[in-house]
Amino acid sequence: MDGAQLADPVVIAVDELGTLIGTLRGDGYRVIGPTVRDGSILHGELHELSDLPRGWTDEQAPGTYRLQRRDDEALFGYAVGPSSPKRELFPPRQRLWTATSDGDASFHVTQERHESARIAFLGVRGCELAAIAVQDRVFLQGAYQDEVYVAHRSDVLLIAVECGSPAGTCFCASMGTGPGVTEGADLVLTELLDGEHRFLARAVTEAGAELLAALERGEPTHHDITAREQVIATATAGMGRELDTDGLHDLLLGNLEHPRWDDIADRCLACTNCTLVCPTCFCTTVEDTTDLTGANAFRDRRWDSCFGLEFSHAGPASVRSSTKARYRQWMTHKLATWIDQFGTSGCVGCGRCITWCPVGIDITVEADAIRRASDPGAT
Amino acid sequence: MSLADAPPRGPLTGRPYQVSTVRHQTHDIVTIDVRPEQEPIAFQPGQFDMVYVYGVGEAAISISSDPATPGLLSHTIRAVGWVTKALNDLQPGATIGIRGPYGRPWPLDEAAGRDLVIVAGGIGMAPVRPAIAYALRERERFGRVVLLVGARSPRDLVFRDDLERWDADRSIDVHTTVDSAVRGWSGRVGVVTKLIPRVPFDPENAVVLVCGPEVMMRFSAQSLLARGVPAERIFVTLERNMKCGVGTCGHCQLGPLFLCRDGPVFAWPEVADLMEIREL
Amino acid sequence: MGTYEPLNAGESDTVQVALASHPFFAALDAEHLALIADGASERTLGTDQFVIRHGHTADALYLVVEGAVALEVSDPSRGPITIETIHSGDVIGWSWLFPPRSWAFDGRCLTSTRLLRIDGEHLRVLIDAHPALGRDLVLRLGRVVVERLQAARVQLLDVHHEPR
Repeated sequence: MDGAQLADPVVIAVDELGTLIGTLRGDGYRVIGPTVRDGSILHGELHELSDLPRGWTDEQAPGTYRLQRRDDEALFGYAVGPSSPKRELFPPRQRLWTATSDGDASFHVTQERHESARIAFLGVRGCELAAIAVQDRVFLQGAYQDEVYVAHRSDVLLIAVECGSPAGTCFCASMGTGPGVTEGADLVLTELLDGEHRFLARAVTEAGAELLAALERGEPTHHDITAREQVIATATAGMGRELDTDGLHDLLLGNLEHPRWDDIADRCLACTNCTLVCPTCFCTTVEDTTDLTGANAFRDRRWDSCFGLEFSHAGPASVRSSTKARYRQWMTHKLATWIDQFGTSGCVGCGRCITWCPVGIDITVEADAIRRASDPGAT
Repeated sequence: MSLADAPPRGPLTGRPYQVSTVRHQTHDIVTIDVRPEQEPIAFQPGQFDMVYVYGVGEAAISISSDPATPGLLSHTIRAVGWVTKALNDLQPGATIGIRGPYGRPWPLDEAAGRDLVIVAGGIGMAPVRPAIAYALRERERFGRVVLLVGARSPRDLVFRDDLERWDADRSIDVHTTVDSAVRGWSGRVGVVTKLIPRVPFDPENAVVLVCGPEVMMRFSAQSLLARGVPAERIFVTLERNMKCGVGTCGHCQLGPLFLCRDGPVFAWPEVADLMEIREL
Repeated sequence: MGTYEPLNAGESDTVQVALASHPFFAALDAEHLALIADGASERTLGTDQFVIRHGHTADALYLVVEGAVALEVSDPSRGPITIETIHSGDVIGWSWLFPPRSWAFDGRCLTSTRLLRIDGEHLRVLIDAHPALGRDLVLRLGRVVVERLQAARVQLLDVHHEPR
């Protein structure tokens, strides 16, 4: 993927997306994209064009998410839902292995085989591509490669749709991850809603180019090109939130005992929602169980959250027994120590943690509060 | 013996090994030996393994045996949680799962040509024991070798036979002390940090390895700094809950550090400030 | 106070030399040392002999040259309890300086122990007569008290105890 140049854009009609879905399915891909389910736009398997959330958008604010009808037929006229590709690439629960008793107090271990799944993601946002790149660093670029992540990640096609409808909680422009897409995908689409409903498409990789080649394509007009630029410009201007990342790492780590953490702790319920919806949070725990006979023992790995009291302990006691300490751990990790560990921020600006926080705690507001309280010159 | 890097084994799945010996060292500390003679497990002093008890779970345990005999692998375990209690109850012949070794080892090469001072508190003897074994074998690489051992009481001292043997051997300078004594103990009483100002070694030309409860390590570091040991030559080993051992489960974070991946051995300046922040 | 490699019994021809080589008096002004030496004497006690006894008049400062002394409290139900042990290079006692000038612990030799005894009355007179010497001596004692207090606090923390 790296180093590939954006090919010249082409124009495709809306119905060609249906063809694309069919082609991918014919090639053995599970096509995962946005679907309307449970009152929200969730990732689900796409079988045909009509599975997409045509005419829907999402209204988001701190602690608020609502589906709304649009006054057009946009297929990707929303920002992001609570689910992200993380759910497919790093499933919430994974069996690692099974140990089978051989009697005589001995056992043998059978490692779980994680079949490589062919997945094509359709409608991936810039923030989500950035999140995948972050998890790639965590799971693929350390001293060890995570075998489960490798299996799920190795045969994946990423078809991005640039975001034209950022939500009230979005701040990808601050994090430099969107709304436009320049890298990380195989194919990048922009939904154009002015005049005839159509998509501008650019292949980024060979695989993306092959997908495009199977579709009916038109030459883009000058107007199409400027229409795309207009979509990005409008979306950039429409960010509901902003995060000043200048010096943020040192700012937060220099204020680990700032009174603001107490203030947040008064509101935070330590419910773990933010970590579950976050597309980059990677923490896990393991569960060891046996079947009823005791003949088989299992080890499963599942998503965990640093907001849990059990998460961190030294000896029998929890290291972070206060909510204050747990929020501080999450936020300073996300925005600061992640950079020390992985060379990138752990935040991609998708805004999910703000939307899905039941009390509407806003990471951008909290970071800003610490900045203002630490710098008397700031306004 | 070379201290070359030991290659990592499969990161998530351990391998079963039969327990050959179980040595009950105190009322709550046990040393469990396995003999992977077919495929010896190479490790460096200070590294740890993830040790699994069938159906119960896994815990990060320091390797306490001599790295020169990789065909004998010992883990010394204090009964604290479910897994470590189960390990304390194991019988010879039982099977445990082991994966590792993981973590950054003690910087013994850095101690070459210098005095090597080891401060161990309680179960903290376990991760320094391989370093002592190495130092004894490569005795001429070091100046003075000094071992300061502290425990809660005489009955909490681990590897007492080793301490007696090393002391008799005179090739290392062993000082043992207990926080509280019972009748019949004729040795030192007092915290291990009290030994630091008195014991003969050259502070300006020493490497110090400290392992024990976090509070004991903080006070030890203070005493060592007061004695004139440069901060960057004081090494501590830190402990937090660990699930993966390879820096991807997130549990053992301390500020920017994953203790399993970046440690467990750290130079004092790497962690001194972090250790002062409550609940970090 | 630094490390201490005591002179052998025959090596120090005068008490003054023995005092000067003990870490407690490291780098002490030579004039002050001579004044202190006037009240000092060497003594050797055998295993289980007592250097000090709880409740007895605290009439001297002891410097341990060689050997070890256990500071004990006797408890009829548990027998003697050792608070800490005092070793070569350490000192015993500041009770001679403060009223009521009685020892708070028993000090029992764990082995044959060589000590320098400096008379308490002699030291008190010196402290009054020579403010500079007095200041220096009290600061040295203060440092010992602080070290002992810190050690006692760490001991009190019972760091090896794992709460269940």
